[in-house]
Amino acid sequence: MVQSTAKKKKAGNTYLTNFVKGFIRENPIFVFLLGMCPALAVTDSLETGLGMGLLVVFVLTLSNIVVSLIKNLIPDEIRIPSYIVIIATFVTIVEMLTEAFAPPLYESLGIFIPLIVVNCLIMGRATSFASKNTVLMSAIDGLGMALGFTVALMLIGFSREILATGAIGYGIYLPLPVEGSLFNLSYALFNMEVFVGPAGGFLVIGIWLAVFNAIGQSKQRKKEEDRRRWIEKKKREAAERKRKKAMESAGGSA
Amino acid sequence: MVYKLRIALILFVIGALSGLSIVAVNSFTEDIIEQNYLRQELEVYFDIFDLEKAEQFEVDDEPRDVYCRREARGYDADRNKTGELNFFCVEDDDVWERAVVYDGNGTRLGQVFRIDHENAHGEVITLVAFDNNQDIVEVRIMRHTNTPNYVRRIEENHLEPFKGQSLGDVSFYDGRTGATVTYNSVVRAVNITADNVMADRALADYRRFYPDAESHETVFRYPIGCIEARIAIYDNDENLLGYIYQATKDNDHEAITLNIAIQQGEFLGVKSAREDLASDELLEALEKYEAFEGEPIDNVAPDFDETVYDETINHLVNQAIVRCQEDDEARHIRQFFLWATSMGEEVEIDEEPLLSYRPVYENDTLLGHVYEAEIDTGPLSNTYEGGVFNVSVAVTPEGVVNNIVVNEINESGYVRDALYDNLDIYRGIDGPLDEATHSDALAGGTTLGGVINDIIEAALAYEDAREDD
Amino acid sequence: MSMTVFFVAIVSAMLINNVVLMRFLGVCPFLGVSKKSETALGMSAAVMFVMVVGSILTYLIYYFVLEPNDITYISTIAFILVIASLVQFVEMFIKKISKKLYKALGIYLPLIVTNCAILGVAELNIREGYAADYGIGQGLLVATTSAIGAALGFALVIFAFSSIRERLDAANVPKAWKGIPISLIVAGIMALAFLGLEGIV
Repeated sequence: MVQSTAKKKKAGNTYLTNFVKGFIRENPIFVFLLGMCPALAVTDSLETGLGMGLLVVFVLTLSNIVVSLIKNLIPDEIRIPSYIVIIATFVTIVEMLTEAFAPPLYESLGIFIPLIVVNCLIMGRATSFASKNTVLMSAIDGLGMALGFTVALMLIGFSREILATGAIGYGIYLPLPVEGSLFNLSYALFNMEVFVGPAGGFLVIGIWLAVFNAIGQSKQRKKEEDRRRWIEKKKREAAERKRKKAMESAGGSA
Repeated sequence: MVYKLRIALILFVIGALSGLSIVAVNSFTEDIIEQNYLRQELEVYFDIFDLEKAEQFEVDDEPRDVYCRREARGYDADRNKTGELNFFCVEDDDVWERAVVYDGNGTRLGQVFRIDHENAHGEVITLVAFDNNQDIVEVRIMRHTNTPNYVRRIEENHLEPFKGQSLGDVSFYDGRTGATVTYNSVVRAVNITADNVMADRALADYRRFYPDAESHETVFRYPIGCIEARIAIYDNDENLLGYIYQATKDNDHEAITLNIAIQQGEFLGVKSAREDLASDELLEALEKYEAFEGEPIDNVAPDFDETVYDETINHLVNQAIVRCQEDDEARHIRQFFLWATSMGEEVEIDEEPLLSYRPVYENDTLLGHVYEAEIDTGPLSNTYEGGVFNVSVAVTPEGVVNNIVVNEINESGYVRDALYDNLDIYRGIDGPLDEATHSDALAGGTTLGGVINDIIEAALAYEDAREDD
Repeated sequence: MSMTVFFVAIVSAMLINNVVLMRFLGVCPFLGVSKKSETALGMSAAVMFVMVVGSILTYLIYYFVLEPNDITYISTIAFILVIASLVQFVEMFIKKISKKLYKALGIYLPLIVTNCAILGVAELNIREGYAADYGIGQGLLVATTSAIGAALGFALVIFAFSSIRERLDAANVPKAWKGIPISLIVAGIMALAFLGLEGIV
């Protein structure tokens, strides 16, 4: 009985970790540098980044599910072509739905909707995860990874939009019931239009990567420091013990 | 072998499933996407003229006349009309179409030219919008293939100054900076539009009858029959030159649209509308109708039977003449009462100076009576020989003067003009004329004014007396 | 149609609307295989070949198969299959023809399938509407020209970038910026430089 709850807990944990890993530890953009093209091209505003992310959530989750459903049916020789067809089907469907229900988003994402097909993230998850795991796990993995991708796109989009325009617009590209903009820091003098331009994408991602690197390195350093301290402490303790022992033995003999 | 077949089968099944799902989604989204593109295309026009955004658009592809290709109407959520677009084909190399924009109440706001130019960078579609005074409302790039950021800069820096410019200042923007292909295309578009606004294509057709034609207005659309519209042609000073009846009939080969010009009872000619679209045979068939040009319409009764077109043309010309005669009669009545449709029998009166009266009806409702009166003044002085004055006075049943029409007057020059200008003062008068009215009406010619006064007083008195009966 | 069209197509695709820096297509190989200028050149050659042939094939398929049958909405799936099979075919072909060439290009070919520049340029050729502007026949010429321009642009940028990166490796960069972050900043500065070319045609 005890054993089974522990097992269950463990299983729940794996689901959770599987879901969460895409956000930080295995973030597709900031850690693996996958799907850089859309990350640069469609993040000139928070909303387009979010829109792109949602499309990827749709495609990645469904393609992961389908791939893991039929993983045993497909011989190795035709794995890649079948995956391409499956992914391209979902991309086409998502493209048509966007065109019908969010035309401004379709217009602004443009060519990058069909290019989801060649987003390495999706193909990568299909071959490395979904073709080896259960349907549920694959679905969770796809959802988590894609949401991690979305969060990264939103972070980039947010930085670029606020730097370039001083505000965050909403309801412009996505079919939201309301339309307007947040913040509206009207610091017209400091609006750096370069950040909505092509160069801005590279710069913003570069800066964020450096920031994450710095955080990671400082954590690493701290860990190493702790470890060193711990070792020193142990050494000290050992030395003390040794001395004590020596003293004891000396006292004993004395 | 079996293994290979299995692989092929699996691939085939995957392909079939994916194809099926795509087709299913497509059939579901197709219509929505189409309406989206329609909205996207038409919303630009609404946006330029600040019309309320439409929730739904309806396009009417049924052509109304040969110059008009389609109509589009926008409705808001409560199905109220927010605006209307009337697209006309313009058969120019570059101009795609011209759209006349109306607001929800049908007020004309202006027109938009859509110009397509293919430069070395690809296609540039420019919209040039004019208001009713022919001032530029906005110049907008609708489609382009250049770098988006660069085009945004063109829009901000170079297209903004176009706003509010009048057509007369065309040279102003010709010399502007920005020697790039996209901007050149835009400037070119504005220049072409300017030329086109000047020389409206339909007007070119009408000028074949009325060389001085500067503007035209469809004054009447006939609800039934092959005669579609009566178009009034004006010259530069807005003087009415004459009318053109536009007639359309499908014969076995093609839709034939003819312009038939009639000026004050005189047949000016019949020509094919949009001659560039008409067949050579039709143009040839029309040549023999030149024989009637300049004849009074009563003498025009073409009865040719040489080519396949003749029957159709005969029919259309005869119909136009019948319409014109009807219109002439109606016009005669309408000058007395605006909504008049028919006139009753003439009743003779034996009471100087009145000659007769006729009742005027709108359908079955009596609108009033028109009295005809005549006074022969004879020589009045050494300098003024006088003569016969024939005047019609329209009086409502309440005994109010509705309008006065001078049929015959032996006077010319500024005296007559002054009298005509002052005739308005008699409108709404319902009793004996007082001093003030007398003196006002007499400006420019005391004797003439006195004559008119006498006639009006006689007419009102007769109307009063008849009422008492 | 004058020669200007082709000139503008090349300049526009290569410099003004550079695939990598302006259109953000093919950023993955741009970051991935640009550590050495030698590999950068090999990759560029492979990309150029596949991009030009792929553009022609997809163009023909779009206008002679998809459009007449009114099924243009499956273009994405058709294009990716065409490109994938093309790459497979080219790989086999090169292997048969020349061992040396295969050694030089072979390792890059599988990477190309997921290079979005290839599919991107193929899609762009359709979206730019060359066929509507110049007719299907001449549109093919313009589309091919702009595919060549795009490939040249890719090669130019990836070669320049790899040369810079070789120097960067030796430079004393702060630890947090080492590797990809500083490379992205360099790419951003390159993009700024290309921004200056906007509007020259």
